[in-house]
Parts: sequence; structure tokens; C-alpha cells
Amino acid sequence: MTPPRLAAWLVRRLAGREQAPYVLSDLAEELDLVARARGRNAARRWYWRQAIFSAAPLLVTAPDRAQRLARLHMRDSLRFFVRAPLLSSMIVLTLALGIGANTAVFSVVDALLLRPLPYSDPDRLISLWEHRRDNSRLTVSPANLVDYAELDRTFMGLAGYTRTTQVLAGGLAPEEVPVDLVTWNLWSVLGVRPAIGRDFRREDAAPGAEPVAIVSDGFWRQRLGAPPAILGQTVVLDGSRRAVIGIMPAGFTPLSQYTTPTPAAVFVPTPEFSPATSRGDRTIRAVGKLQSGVTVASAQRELDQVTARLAKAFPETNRDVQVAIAPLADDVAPVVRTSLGVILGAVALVVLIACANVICFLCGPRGGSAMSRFVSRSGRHARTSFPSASCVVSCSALRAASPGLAAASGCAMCSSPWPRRASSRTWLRLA
Amino acid sequence: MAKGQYLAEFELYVMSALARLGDEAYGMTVRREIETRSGRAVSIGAVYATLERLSLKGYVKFRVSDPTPVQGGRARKHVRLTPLGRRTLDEATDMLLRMLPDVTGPEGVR
Repeated sequence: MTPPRLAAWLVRRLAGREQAPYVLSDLAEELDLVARARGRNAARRWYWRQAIFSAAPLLVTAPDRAQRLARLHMRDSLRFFVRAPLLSSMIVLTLALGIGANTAVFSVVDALLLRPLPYSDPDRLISLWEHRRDNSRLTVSPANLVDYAELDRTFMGLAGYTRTTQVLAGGLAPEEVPVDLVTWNLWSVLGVRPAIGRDFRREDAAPGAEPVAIVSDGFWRQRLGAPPAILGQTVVLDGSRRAVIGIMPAGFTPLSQYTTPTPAAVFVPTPEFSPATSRGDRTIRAVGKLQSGVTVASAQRELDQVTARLAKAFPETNRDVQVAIAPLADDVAPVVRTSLGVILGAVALVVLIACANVICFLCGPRGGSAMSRFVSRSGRHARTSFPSASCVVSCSALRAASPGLAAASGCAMCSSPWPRRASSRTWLRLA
Repeated sequence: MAKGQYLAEFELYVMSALARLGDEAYGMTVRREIETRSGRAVSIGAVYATLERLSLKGYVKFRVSDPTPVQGGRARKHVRLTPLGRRTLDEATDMLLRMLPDVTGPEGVR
């Protein structure tokens, strides 16, 4: 059977003069076997797959061609740099800025919008909030949350959290630390567990329970000095001694970090919510996990029935209050979603403008003469089928690649992993 | 095994295939051997690229055969392990076996 011409041409081009006859010979021999076993069409498809998946390894390892081209471009680049250092520096700087900005913004977009949330079953996690008829969004009343949580065929669990600061005593001077007040079941809803120690239990939230706390890995290492026997020791927060019962994993991103500037240092269980407390105190952010197979829409319908009932039972506080839910992934960064899209578009334009500038530099009086030298040299070498491509590569991309990518890597390292390490002030500025 | 002589996973596959195939080893047979035994799709380009790398390390040697005695017969680029390649493969497989659970060494192979 005759191999597909285009695929064979592709393999010949990629494999280089030395290897191509043997690669093609092997492929042709096996093509006959495949054609006999599975038919001509399947054999043709097999050949194309082989050609396509062979492209990358052959391209990378065709030793003669790759090394020759690399040497050629490197030499031309050095010559260009020596002859036109100012122009070269401008090109490097322009592309470095473009690539760096793009990489930095993309790493933010990737971490905030593209990667799944760092919790178990992120598709089933929902955010829940209350709102008035004018759609003004409210945090949730703890007492109402108890009623919502009764929909246990809809929700595997509903949990709440809120951010506060408390004064930590015990160091050289009292210090304010960011503290997340969380319901005892928050970690189980998110599907995370402390790396050391235990999770909160219902008893920890009961009236009169011994005060306990779970600390973040950063707090344990930096503020407490990473003592190995931390469990059972106490931290004094707002004058109350709390026994440390666990340390969260190093990479853990608390939910509060998506909405507040600083990562939480300590997690403290809120007293268990009671339906008897005032329903007008809307103090917590709520998150839940849907039961398997339950959709957001059906959960919303169930919640609407509950809110209608609560509006009748507690007209003073619940008359105009509705509840809404949305997938957590869509809700954690609603403010930045649009902004990041715009910024990403803008930096993509910056790269385009940078490329246009580079072309202008190269076509200008100094760059033009260099271009003509490269074109004539490419003609003399007569091996580069597209002299202008070679010229552009050697004049700009190759030389710009190292510092440009270095700058890009620097930006990426500063901003990733996001939002764990990046300054949230930057995040807010972006928003 | 000195640093720098360790085999990557695919290199180990290719060298194991060469050891099995002996004189019958050339690009196509190596590719089929790996695909059949490992169950993973393998491209001929990956095989040639790896053989090239192994050749630079001195683990394999090439020998071009005469064209097959049919009309339009093709020449084949046969490949075989060098003594250094054989030794490196043995050491790599020993090391792998020692690392596998419930196997204490070459004597304890299940």
C-alpha cells in the first residue's frame, strides 16, 4: 500500500536526511501489515497518527539540523548584538515586558479562573447568600442557615465562615492576627483535613466546650516557630486560651482568602447556630456541598420553598429576603472575572504591540541594514527556506528569549501559586 | 551506576525491547514490541529519537542491512545493545526490582 503522500513528506522533512529513509521504510513496512489486518482506511489513519505523533520527538532530536540551525542563529544573534547593541537592548526590553506581563496575568487567570478549586468534589460545592428583592446581596443569617441545612436530601452539608481579627498574646507584644470563625463542619464540607491533628467536632461548638483552635501551616512555622509538639498547647486569642488541635496543610487555601486581603492564621469554631437566635443578624458567608446528583436549579427550588416558609414565620426579618446559590467556582471570584478577562486581553494586545514595535525596529534604518545582511547571508547558506523567518528569529526572538523568559519567569514566580502566596493587595488592585 | 547513566522510563522500554528482539531489532519491530507489551501507543519518531539518544550514550549500535531481496526492497537500520548498554540495562532493571514492593533483590524476584 502506498503511504499517504503528505504524511510521508512530513516525516521526511522532520526526520532529516540521514534518518528519513529508515523511518519511512519502517513505516511503509508496517503500513502493509496494518492494511492487511485492519483495512486500507485504518492503515491510512494509522500512518497519519504515526506522522503526527512522531513530529515532536523527531524535530527535537534531529541532531544535525537542530544543532546547525542553533549555531547559525546564535552566531548571527551575537553579531547583531555587537553591531547594534542599543537596538538589540530595545528589542529585548520590549519583548521582555510583553512576555512578562502576559505570563504574570495568565498565571493569575489560571489560578483563579481556570484551575479547579483546591477542595474535594469542587463541582458539587455551592456558595449560598441571601438577598433582598432589589438584589442587594447579604451575608447569611446563622439562624436561617440552620433551616436551610435541614434540606439534607439536597445538601450533604452547609457550613459558614466569617473573618475577624483577634489579639494574640504571648509574644514580645500583643499582635493582631487574622482569624476565621468557622462552623465545625466547614472542613468536612470542603473535603479537607488538617495535616496534623484533628478536625473540629460538633462538641467543640457546644456551649461550655473547651476553647480550641486550628492553626495555618504558615502561622505554625513563622509565628510559633514550628514546634513539633504543638498539639494541646495553647494560644491566647482575645484573652481566651485555646488549645491547638490541628495544623492545616501547607497548600491549604481557606475560602476567606478569595475575598479578604490576608490569609487566615487561626481557625476558631463558632458556637453552634441556633434557630432561636435573631434572624436579622446576617453575619456569615455560607458554603455547601450538594448531594450527589442534585443540581443547582433543583436545590434552588427547594430553598425557595424554605424561604417562603420563613418569610411567613418571621415577617419582621425575613419578609423581603430571598436566598440564592451558585457553583462555588463561579462565585469566588465574580468581581475579578471580568476585570481579569479585560486585563488578559489588554496584555495580549501589549504583546502584539511589542511585536509590532520589534518589526518597526528591524525595518528602521539600523535594523534594516542588519536585516539585509541576514537575508543575503541566508541566501548564501541556501539551506534556510524562509530567510525572513530566520532573520526575525535570529534578530529578535532568540536574543529576546533568554531575558524575556527570565523576566516572565520572575513575574510568574512572584504571582504563583495564586492566591496562596501572592499579595492579595495586588489581587485587589487588579480587581 | 554513575550519575548520568540512569535510564529514563522510555529508554528502559527501548533497551528491554532490544534485549528481547536480538538480531531482529530495528525501528518497526522495536516499536511493535513496546506497543504490544506495554499497551501504550508508541510513535516511530519516539523510538528513533530514543535510539539516537542511546547511541550518543554508547548503549546501542546501528548496522544498516542490505535491501530485502524483493522488488523495491528496503534497507533496514538494525540496532543492537553494546556491552555497556547491556550492563546498564541489567543495573537499571536490578535497581527497579529492588525498589518494587515485596521484592528484596534480584534473588527475590517473584
